[in-house]
Formats: sequence, C-alpha cells, structure tokens
Amino acid sequence: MKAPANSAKANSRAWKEWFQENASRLIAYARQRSQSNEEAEDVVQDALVKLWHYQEKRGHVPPDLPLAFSVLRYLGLDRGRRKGRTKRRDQKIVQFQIGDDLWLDTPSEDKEDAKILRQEVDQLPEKLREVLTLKIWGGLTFAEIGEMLSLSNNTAASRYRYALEQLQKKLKHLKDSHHG
Amino acid sequence: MDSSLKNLEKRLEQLTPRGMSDEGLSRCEALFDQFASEELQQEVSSSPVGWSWKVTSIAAAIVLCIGLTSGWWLGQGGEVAPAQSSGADEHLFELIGERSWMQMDGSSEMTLSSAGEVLEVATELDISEETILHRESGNYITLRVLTRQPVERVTDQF
Repeated sequence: MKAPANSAKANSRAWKEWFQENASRLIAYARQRSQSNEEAEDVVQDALVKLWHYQEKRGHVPPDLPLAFSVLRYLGLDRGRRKGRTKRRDQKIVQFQIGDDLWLDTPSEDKEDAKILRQEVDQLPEKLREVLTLKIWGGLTFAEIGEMLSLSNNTAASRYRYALEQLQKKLKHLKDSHHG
Repeated sequence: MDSSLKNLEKRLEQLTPRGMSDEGLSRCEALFDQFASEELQQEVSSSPVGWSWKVTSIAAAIVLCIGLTSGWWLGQGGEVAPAQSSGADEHLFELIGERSWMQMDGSSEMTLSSAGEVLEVATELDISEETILHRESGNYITLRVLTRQPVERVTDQF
C-alpha cells in the first residue's frame, strides 16, 4: 500500500500532467459561454474544484474529458443564468469595442482566410458552435458529445455537419462578394 | 461528407485554441498542491486506528448485546437501583480509554446564496470513541458514537 503522502503527491502530479495536456481544450470550451478569457479561466478553476471532489470515490485520479466538459457546461450555464442577459449583452458590446478577445489563434500562413474563418465560427448559433468546438478542439467522439448534451449520436453528427455547411456557405458568400 | 467539407474541417483544425494565461496556469497548479495537502490531511485524520468501520460496528453490536443481557444498558425493568447497576458495570467492564475528534464527512459543496455569497456546505462528523474491556471474556470492545451536523460558511476559496 502506498503511503498517504506519496499517494497525495502522485495524485497532484497526475492532475498537473492531465491539466497541461487538456488546459487549452477546456479553456476553448469554457470560452463558449464566457465573455472573456479571464471569466473562462475562472470557470475552469471552479470546474477543477468540482472535478476533484467528484473523483474522490475514484481515488482522486484525473477525470476523463467528457466528464470535465460536462462540469464546465453546467458551471457555464449556471454562471450565465446568474449574470443575466442584460449584463452579458453589455459586456459583449464592450468587448467588440476592444476587439481583442479571441479564443482561437490562426496559423501564420493563410492568415487572412483563417481570420475570416475564426470570425465565422464565432458567429455560428450556440448549439452548432458547441458541437463543433467539442469535436474539433475538444477531441470528443459524436457518441461522447451526444451523451454529454443528451442528444442522439445522429443529432450530434447532424449538428456538426450543419455547422460545417453553414461555415462553407458563409465563406463562399464572402468570397463571391469580394470577387464580384 | 464531401471533400470540400473535409477540407474545411482541416482548416478548422489548424486554428488552435488559446491556452490559459500564465497567471491562470499557476493558480491551477497551486490548486492541485492544495488538493494534495487536503487529501493527505483527510487520510491521516480518517485512519486513527487500524480497525475498519465494519469491525467497529460489529463490536458495538456485541457490546450492546452484552450490555442488554447484563442489564448494564437499560437497567432491569427499573427494579435495580442505579447505584447497584453502576457497580455491576464496573465489575463487568473496564474503561480502557476514550477520545474524540472531528472530521469532515465527504466533500463539501459550493452553493450560491440569494445574497450572492458563495457558501461552502459540508457535513462535520463528531466522533467519540470508547475502548472497553469485557472482563469475563477478555475482549476489547470499541464503541464509536457519530454525530453528523451540517456546517455552512462563506468562502472565497473556490
């Protein structure tokens, strides 16, 4: 049997490694319901506290990603409800004015197109953007997304496909208007 | 999925989510260290003796049976004077040691009060333990009494 001190240290190390590997995924998802990076970081931190307690019965091993995303979703929704719509709208206006509140980085080549793509992702309806984020940047399968959002696998896959089609349509429209 | 959508998918994958700020990362790292120290404290406080809860509860049941049959626990129909009963107890049992301590029961939950305060709600466990020697059999019996009480406090540690 491991000594308590060793076990606690090993758990702390395992969580640090887990977090280093997944921090950007968690932040990307938390950003979907937060108005700023700072707020998203607060939500992630709250989620870590909850997750640690959830994992108590499992010997404090780091959680799997779908569970982490579920907790983030719950906290994000809860926070959103508390803040109220008016405040969120006001904050959004302030952030548009600042214009520096981005959650995706573009590759160095193909920068203009990538910037447009990033902008269009932000404009997607929340339901579509959520599935897209979980699939592309969260690394979840449709089955995991479905389970997390209480959807069938097919609905999760349809939303993802619909998000891609909407993006493609918008990009094509932008391209046509540039040329024409 | 047609090739144009697959191509779009690849372009999306090239957009990389921004990570946490250095400050956020260090806050989370500190959180993991705090978790580890809390875990250690919990483990140390929850294992003062090597006996499991199951063994303890069996022992408590045994002592209760012995106590009931010897009239120690309830008296014998009220006919025995308390002083006599106490004398019999002393003869049958010998108190070896007693102690008590408190610990948290399970994990605490964070809730938000209507006043906008973050409350940490936990259950506190007050444990008192007596070790008794049953003279006749030579068995040592441990009795534990657990009292649970909810505790609520305002916190900013979340």
